[in-house]
Amino acid sequence: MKIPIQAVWLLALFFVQQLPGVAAWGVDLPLVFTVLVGLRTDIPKAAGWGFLAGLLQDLLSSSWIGPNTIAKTLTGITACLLKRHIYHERVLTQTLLVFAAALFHQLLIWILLKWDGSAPPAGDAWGIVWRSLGMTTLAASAVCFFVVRFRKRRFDPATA
Amino acid sequence: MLKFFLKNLSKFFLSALLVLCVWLLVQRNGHHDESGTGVKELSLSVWLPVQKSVAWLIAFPENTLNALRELRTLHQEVERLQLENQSLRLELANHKSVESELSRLQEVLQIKAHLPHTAKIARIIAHDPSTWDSSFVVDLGSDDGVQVDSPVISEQGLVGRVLEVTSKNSRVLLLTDSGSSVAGIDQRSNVTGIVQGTGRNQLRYAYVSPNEDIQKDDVLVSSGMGGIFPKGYAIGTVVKRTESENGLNTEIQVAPSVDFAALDYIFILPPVDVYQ
Repeated sequence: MKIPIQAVWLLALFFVQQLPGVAAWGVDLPLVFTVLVGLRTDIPKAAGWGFLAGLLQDLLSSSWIGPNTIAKTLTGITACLLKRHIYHERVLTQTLLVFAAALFHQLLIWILLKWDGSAPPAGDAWGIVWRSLGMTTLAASAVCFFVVRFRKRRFDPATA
Repeated sequence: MLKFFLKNLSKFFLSALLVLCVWLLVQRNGHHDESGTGVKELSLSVWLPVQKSVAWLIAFPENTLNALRELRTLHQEVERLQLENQSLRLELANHKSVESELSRLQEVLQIKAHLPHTAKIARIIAHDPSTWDSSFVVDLGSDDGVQVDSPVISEQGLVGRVLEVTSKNSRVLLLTDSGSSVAGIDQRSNVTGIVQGTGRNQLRYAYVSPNEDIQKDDVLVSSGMGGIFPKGYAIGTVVKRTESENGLNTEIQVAPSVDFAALDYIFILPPVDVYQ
């Protein structure tokens, strides 16, 4: 049975995500994974990987099962829809897409937590959102740099 | 029928995912306490051994390299240790007699077993992967006597409380989580209030009236009120006090005494009602 490379990446990311300080600093690597996979696949697969990444995150966190699962499923679909309109094999474009997706994702989570009644006060929520936006975008810029370079070398006929 | 299904497989898959998302919301609605607890317990018991193994695999090359480096000095060390071993054996014999006396005394003073110094030492295995929650998982569970709502401390001060317990692991909710709060008292002025988590590496001293005497660098400790956290453990230091323009509200920012990212081991105390 062939194990999809995305599954290996996802498990590796979760190992890093659970190291001290990673989530505490606001870095959301499963989100970066969801967006980057969403940019390179069709809608059902993007939704599937987003769903899986979010589900794992909810299962391994102290929150209820739902906010990350739903937000990442919808973020995966959105990223996939965006790729139809934007040429994304550029580091800056991808980083900006992750920024937009992270904003969308965090707002979705906040809405879901608000609906559930477990959302922190607005001031604290914005603090979490902005920190996560900044740090996830920063992490994404490094990841995107390697992803774009690697893909260009591999798939660009001029450099392959 | 099968052909139609296979032809539209991706559409069915996407619909199933969206239905699952809605189902999660419906499940959550009105079942706040028990939703997903069993599944989460199962997933933790599956994931944590993987996390432990990967950590071991990552440390393996470094450990091997270190072992090779130390091989040179090993022979000298063995001779020194053999001598030391003999003297330690003598010392151990003395200690054993002291230990047996101590255990006899502990049996007499059974109440000692319920005091905070019976704290269990637990190792942190994994941190919360979500950016909205602040918690970590430790390697002690209900099999080791850990209970929900047990206070958790480190040598630096109060860390949080036990939120969930499985047979082998427990989840500790940190003071910095936005759902966390602890009754605190200013050590200098004795002003009481509630220390709340903000979801970031910062705390807030709330429910304090604007004219109360609280200054920068004041140390806050747990007051013991609320029935979860014992009295007298360090919570944090006041870093900033901001008054609202109308003077009716005051915002007090507190830096936690514990460096949560640097923690390796923590102490789990018995629940407060056990020894009160």
